[in-house]
Amino acid sequence: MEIFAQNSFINDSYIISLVLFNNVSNSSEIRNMAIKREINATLLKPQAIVDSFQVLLAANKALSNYLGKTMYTKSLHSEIIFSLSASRSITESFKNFGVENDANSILIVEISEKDKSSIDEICSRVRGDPVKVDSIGTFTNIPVIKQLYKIDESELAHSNLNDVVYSRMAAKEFVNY
Amino acid sequence: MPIAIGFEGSANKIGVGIIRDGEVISNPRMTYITPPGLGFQPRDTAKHHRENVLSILKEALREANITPKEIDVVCFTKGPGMAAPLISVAVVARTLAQLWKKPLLGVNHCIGHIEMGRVVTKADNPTVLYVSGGNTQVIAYSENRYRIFGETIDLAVGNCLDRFARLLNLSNDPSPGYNIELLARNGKKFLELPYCVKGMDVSFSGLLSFIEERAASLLRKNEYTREDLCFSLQETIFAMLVEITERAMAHCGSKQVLVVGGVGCNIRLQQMLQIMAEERNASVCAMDERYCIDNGAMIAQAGLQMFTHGQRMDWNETFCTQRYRTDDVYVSWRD
Amino acid sequence: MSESHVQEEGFLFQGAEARVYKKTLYGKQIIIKERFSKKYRHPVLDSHLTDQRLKSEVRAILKCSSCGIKTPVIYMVDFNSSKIYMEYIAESITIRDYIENFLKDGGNINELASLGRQMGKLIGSLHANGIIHGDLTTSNILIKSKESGCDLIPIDFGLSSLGRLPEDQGVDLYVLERAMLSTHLNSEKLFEELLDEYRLSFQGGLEALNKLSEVRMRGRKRTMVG
Repeated sequence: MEIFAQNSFINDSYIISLVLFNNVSNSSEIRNMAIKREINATLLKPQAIVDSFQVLLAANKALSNYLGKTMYTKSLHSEIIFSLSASRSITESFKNFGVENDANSILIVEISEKDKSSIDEICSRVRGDPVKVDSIGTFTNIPVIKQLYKIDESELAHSNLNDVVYSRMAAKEFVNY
Repeated sequence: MPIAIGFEGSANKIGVGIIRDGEVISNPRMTYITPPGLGFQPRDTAKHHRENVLSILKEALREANITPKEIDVVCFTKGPGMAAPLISVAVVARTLAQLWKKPLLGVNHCIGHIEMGRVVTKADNPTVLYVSGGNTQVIAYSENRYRIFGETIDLAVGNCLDRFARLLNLSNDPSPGYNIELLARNGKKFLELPYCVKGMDVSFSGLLSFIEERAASLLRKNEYTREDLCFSLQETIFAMLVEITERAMAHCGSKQVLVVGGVGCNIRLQQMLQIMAEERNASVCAMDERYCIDNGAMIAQAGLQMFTHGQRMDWNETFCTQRYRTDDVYVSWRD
Repeated sequence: MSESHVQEEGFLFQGAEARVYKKTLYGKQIIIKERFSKKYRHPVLDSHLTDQRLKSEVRAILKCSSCGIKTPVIYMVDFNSSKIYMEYIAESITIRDYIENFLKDGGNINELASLGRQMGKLIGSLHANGIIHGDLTTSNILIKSKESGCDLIPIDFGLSSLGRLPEDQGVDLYVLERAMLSTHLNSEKLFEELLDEYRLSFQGGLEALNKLSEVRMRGRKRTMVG
């Protein structure tokens, strides 16, 4: 199993760990554990993700809001989902980026203090095939991405899709699309 | 050691000053003060200057303890300023130059402030914030000119303060700006006002009309006191000035600030400049009336620089002009 | 300014109100622009301005990118520390440095007409898309060579606003004119080229140029008393 782990650039005593699973058979179980906080991680829909950078940006933004006590949501892990979204609606963010009960693939994201990660323990609960995080692009559903981030075809004539996604996330608090 | 006499009367002050080799040896002046709520009118101001210029001249000569024969050059404010007062003083300077058979030089008023500031503070190459009733400029020297990096695109800062003082019916004695400063010291509640910086330029007209529209009702409803309004006005206007000064310093890589002009006497403005300068390891030259407030010596000092570097003026060049930009002057006396 | 900031890894420079760092973030070279509080300002005014300028900058950059005007990509905005994380534009220099280098190598400023025209076109398209830069200078436009010619990339949008008033467009040009003439000696003709192309490339250009003349006159006509 590959754990893609990176230091946070907001505070380097925190670490962000990503693990990608395919052919998952117990999504609803994992999802319930997350809801009950039995596992402390965010479960993302890989189809809505363009690359790991997008997720790392959202995780860092969430951590900044967590440490700065300016979170929009109730927990650090739900704040990641909110930060990923171009929408200011929390419900909509969960609907768009969170996993569903019948999900076949899951991207797990954990933010923890260094040496306090429980990502191995979390992953041991998942019944599925771990795959390399940098293969996330093979899961990306571009039409879905365009719809979630309200990206116009004309915009892509001069900008790269991933860059547009990052900017949409960055400015959603004060720019309307 | 060359001696210069300078005549200044471009606004509501009339002054005659004598300089010997960078040292002020006399510098008497008088201010034309109008009743509260009124600004000074060109005609009345000129009349005031005409009535007082000769006694001030006598005082200047007596205090300096020199005779006209010892003077090397007669200097006067060529502009910018109000036409009638400028002319009333220029006439005296032209007459004396002929009577005493001395060369006559017309001096740019702004450059008078700057050169006096440089000699008094020994600042070599400062960024200059020039703030007065008619001027708001950020100036730095480069390639034989005092170049204007930033300025107001509408009202001058002193004019804005004066008009606000009239709105509150504050006294013009000693100056409306000083009375605003005194009230502002007791202000506590900050009112957010339009803040307008464009590049290195500022604009005050939006701010002034904003407060003109609201002041009466804010005071009537006791939401803000006069002190609060003066405080908020100063905090906002001065922050804009300090900001453009800092931008110019960053742009030119300058490490010194010199503030000149009447508004430069304001303690709060000086304090804010000081904080800004400290934060960027720069320094502020100490304020001094010899270059901040309009006076004759500063005109003599700038004229003396021109004179000792060989500048002379034909008689037909020694006129006055209301509009005379700082960057119009060719500066021959600096490298 | 505390010493630790100066020595911090990747520190590039400190402007009037922001510190700029260059770092590598998960393999990408990025710029971090951190606005800091100005102690001379009243705290209410200060936090209002810091916040407003951070937002203005991001809004204008996003507007540019959606209109096809190349600007740095915004990666993240952190309100808790007033930082913008954005794309590092590799192999670019400011137009100010470009002109200075050109002159140092013995060039004549009037040979830069095509650069002036390209700047005019850029500002024309900013204005045509309702973007007022607010602080146009030759330091706030980057130039990056490409196979044929070069790209101009406007930066530093902290004083920007969105709108289409000819008055604001005129002031925008006035600010640039003042900055160019005081920074680059004998740049009058270069600026004329710029205005010429501006007028040709932007429909509302003529109206903005009329406003520019008005704004210039205000400066000249002002009776500068005292």
